[in-house]
Amino acid sequence: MLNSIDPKSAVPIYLQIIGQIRRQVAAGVLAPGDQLPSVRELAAQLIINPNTAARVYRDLERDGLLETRRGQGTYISPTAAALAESERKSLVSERMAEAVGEARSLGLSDDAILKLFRDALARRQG
Amino acid sequence: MRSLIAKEFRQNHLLVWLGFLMSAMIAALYYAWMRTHVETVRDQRDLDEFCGIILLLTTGVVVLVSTAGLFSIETTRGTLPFLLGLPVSRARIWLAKGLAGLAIAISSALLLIVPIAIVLPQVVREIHIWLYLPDIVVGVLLLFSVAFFCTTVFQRPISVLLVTVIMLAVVLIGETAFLSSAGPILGYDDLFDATLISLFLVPAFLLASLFTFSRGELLATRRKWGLAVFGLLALIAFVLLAITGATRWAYRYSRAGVRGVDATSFPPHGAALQFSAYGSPAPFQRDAARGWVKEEGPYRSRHTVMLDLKTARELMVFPLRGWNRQADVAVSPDGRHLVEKNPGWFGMNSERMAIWDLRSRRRIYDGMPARSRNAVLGRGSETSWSPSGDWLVVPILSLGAPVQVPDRPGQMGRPRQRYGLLLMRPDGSRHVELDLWEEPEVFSPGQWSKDKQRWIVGWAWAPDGSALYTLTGGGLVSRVAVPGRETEKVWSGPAPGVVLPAGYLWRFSRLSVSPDGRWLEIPAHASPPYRESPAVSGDAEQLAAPPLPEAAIVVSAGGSRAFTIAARQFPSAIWSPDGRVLYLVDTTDNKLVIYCWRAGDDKAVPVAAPPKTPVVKVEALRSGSLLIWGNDRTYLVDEQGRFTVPRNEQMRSLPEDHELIGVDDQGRLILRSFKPSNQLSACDFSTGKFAKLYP
Amino acid sequence: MSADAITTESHLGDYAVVTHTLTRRFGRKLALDSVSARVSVGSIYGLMGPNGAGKTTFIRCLLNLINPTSGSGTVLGHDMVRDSVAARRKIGHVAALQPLWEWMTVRELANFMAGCYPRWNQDAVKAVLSPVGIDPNDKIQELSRGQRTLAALAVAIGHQPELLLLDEALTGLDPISRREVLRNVIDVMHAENRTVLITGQDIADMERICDHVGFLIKGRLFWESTLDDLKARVKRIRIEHPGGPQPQVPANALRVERAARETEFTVTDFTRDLVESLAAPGRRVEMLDLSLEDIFVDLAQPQLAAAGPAPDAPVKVPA
Repeated sequence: MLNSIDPKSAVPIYLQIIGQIRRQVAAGVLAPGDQLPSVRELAAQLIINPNTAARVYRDLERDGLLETRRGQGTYISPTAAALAESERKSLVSERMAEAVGEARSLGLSDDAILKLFRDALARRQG
Repeated sequence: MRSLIAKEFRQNHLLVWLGFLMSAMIAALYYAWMRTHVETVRDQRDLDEFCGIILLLTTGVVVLVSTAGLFSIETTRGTLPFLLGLPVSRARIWLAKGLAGLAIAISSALLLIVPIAIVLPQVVREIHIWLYLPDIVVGVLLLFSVAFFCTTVFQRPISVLLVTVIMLAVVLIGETAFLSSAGPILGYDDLFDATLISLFLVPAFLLASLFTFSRGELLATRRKWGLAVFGLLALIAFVLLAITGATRWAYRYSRAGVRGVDATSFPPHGAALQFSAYGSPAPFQRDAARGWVKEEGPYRSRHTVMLDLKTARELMVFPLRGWNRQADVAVSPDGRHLVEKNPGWFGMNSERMAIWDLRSRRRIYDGMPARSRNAVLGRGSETSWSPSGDWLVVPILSLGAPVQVPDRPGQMGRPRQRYGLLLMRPDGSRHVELDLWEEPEVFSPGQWSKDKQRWIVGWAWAPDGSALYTLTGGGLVSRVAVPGRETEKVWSGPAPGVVLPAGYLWRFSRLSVSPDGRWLEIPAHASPPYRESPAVSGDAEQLAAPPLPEAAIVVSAGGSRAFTIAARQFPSAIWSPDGRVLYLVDTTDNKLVIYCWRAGDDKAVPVAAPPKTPVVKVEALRSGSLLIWGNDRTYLVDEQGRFTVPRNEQMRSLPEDHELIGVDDQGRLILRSFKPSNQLSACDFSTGKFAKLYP
Repeated sequence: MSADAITTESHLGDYAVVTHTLTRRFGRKLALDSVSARVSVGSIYGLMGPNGAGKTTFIRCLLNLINPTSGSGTVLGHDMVRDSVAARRKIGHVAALQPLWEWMTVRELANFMAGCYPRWNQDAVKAVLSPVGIDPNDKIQELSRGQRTLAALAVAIGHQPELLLLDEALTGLDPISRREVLRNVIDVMHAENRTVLITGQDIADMERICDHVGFLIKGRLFWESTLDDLKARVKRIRIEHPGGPQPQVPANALRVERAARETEFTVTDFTRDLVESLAAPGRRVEMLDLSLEDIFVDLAQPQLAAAGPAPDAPVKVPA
């Protein structure tokens, strides 16, 4: 299920939720056809403004991750699978871009950065 | 709205039972006290009366306590913002609390009074609850409205109670002060108007409360509103009082609403009649013969009316002054003036005399001559007004050094001022002092009774008003010319033809003058001289002694002729209007004794009247006959001394439905009817015709 | 507003509450100083401020419990003063620790309220009470503090109000009760045209649920905007300048902190251009997001420190 949100975080609440849902879709936790809680239920569960919950669903629907079936609720759309792949990649590349930016600002060279990546891969092998 | 009222009832329902609890307590205390302290009937009556007062006070307390918390509790507990946040206008909230509060206060009061009325009816009787019901209701409403106002202004129920009590005291003091000072000017003269004023104050306080609650806000700002509003309140009250006063002042000259009369004062040969008229029935004591009214019980609107008997028109209407309702009133024989004397507080020398001009309806004299004493108006045959109405006689203490009068020989005695007479004009402008003590002032023990004989004990006017006859205790009749002071001795006793035992003296007390001015009637009785020994005269001794001689004496106006016309003295001497017949009447102990004397005869003739005849009044008629007014029938005595019963059945049974006030100068009987509702009428006894006089 | 600005659309363009220069004096104290607030229909508006800022006074003016010294306002289209009874028919009000009639049971209170309003939904009331186990037959004096607030909330929403006013309603509540209150508040919003105005100092909770905010200090409303706009405009800038000269800080910067090689300050009008303008060789300029609490503190400090009225003009960001 959705984790509780951090209102204090730099990231707006709605983006946090969108991020969580995207991650779950990417990880396959949420499969196409799975039903999501209604806007009302979502707001009540997370204790957030219903407008925010509505916005979450609106944006995800705009991006094609969700579809609303009239009178039936909100479901993960079939196209989500296709997006999943690119989702995964874009999520990771975002992270990587952040890491690179951080490393560069600390003055590391490109080689040093690559070495760090390889070390991380090696560590995670097992 | 129903929701609000229901909530108020549920919130305060315990207060309703407060009344019941108090009634149980009062009953318990009553019985406890009765068992331990009541021994006589008088004690029982005192207890009932006291308990009645306690009952009334407790009713007030219960009403106060029920009302004090209505708004202030919400403020103290902090629930007021919640209440005001409801979609109900403040006026509605106020109304809901007011209605519920009033219902609770009244229920509580009823639960207090009704059980007591059932269990202890004697207590409720003592306070005449039905009689005072309007006053009680108005009192409860006033209590409620003042408390309701205070509870909207003040925050704590205790402050509310305190301020309510203070405000009520202010209201009562204000009303009293207003009534006693402005009352006579505006025509207020009794407590009924106090009830009326209170009734006007009830809506004033309620409106002020509504104003405060709807304009005020939540907390301390309300206090400012309350104070400002109280000023508004005072203004409203003042306006209402002024309006009521103006209405009342206008009203006193109208007969509307006057339902009857109570006491009357009928001066001899009077052309006008003074009486009190009232608006609604009330129990009171009346002493019509003496011309004043003493009221007991609730006062209703009363004013004094001067009625011209010829035209049956109101000459004047004015309030009776002062706290003490007794006021002696007498009209001058010419109908021009009226003297009203108020005995003042508890008979202390604070008497005030007011003389009114009946034509201009203005008071022309207000005060009391210096050193005056005793009744100005006199009793019985001592008329104070001269026949022409020019002079008024006032007994005074004369100037000059007091004399020592020993009670018993051998004592130093007490200093006493000598008596004199003051003749004054009705407006007080001229007065003449008659100091009729002519003998030396020295008293010596053993002579005190003789010297007392020299004091003036009675006086009577000559019918033409030119002179005043004075009588001393020893029987010296003098004639004093008025307004000059020439004095001539007319007669000096003793009773002719009656022999006194040795050492006995004749004592005289009063005299009367015949209407034609030719004769003086003077009763006398003998009294033993003062005995030397101190251990003297118990009643036993006097009873054992033989009866003392008495005499009824007639003296000619010049003093040349004197007759003892009867061997006893009579309390009443009634002359026929033309002076030809004198009736001597004694009606003490329901024993009717009448003697009849025709002018010039040397003896009076006893009238054979049934001895046990209850007599209320005796008056001379124009025909020369004597009218005897009994309890339920009338009788007549003619000049020959014959005792008869009137032929006319209606005249015979007049006393059943009427009270005889007197006979006016036209010879009509002035009557006051018992039913319907106390009206005044004039009746011609010979023809039996009635004329309605008042209202 | 910058390109990144996260704008919240206003839902209907209508306002549930509008006040015009609302002022209220108590003697010499100015409790509300020319407050012109606007609360959009369909929003959850958080009015924040320290103790004594005037929040309760503001709510009382809206309910016409007290009259404004000057200024005016409308609530749900009704004039605040002249038409307040009609307005109150559509308002539900819960105040912190509001005393209720202790002798009443919850059921009696509900029945009493039902009698005062044109419509009443007893199921809505039950829906608030049963999840926390409040029995309608309980007397109010037996309830705990949290239960009292929930009971008050229950009867406040029983008449399906269009505007719900919560005045420090979360103060002093245990976490469970607080959650329940918020959950119920959010549930209220489910229906059309519902608005919530919540005042208090529980900034963390308000951050979750509010979409509009207003800051009230010393009676003055010196900030009013959507939450997103607020967070977008108020940012903290950190400049690392090892070895370089001290950078020039914008004139309206708040909470300026200077160290030897680092300078931080808060700006209220953040744009990307600002960052670029501050960039210089040898400097690293970073933008930090602030939590609502931090924002509030940074904005409120100068207001509190000022002796008289706020030196800055109020910032109003149209929603």
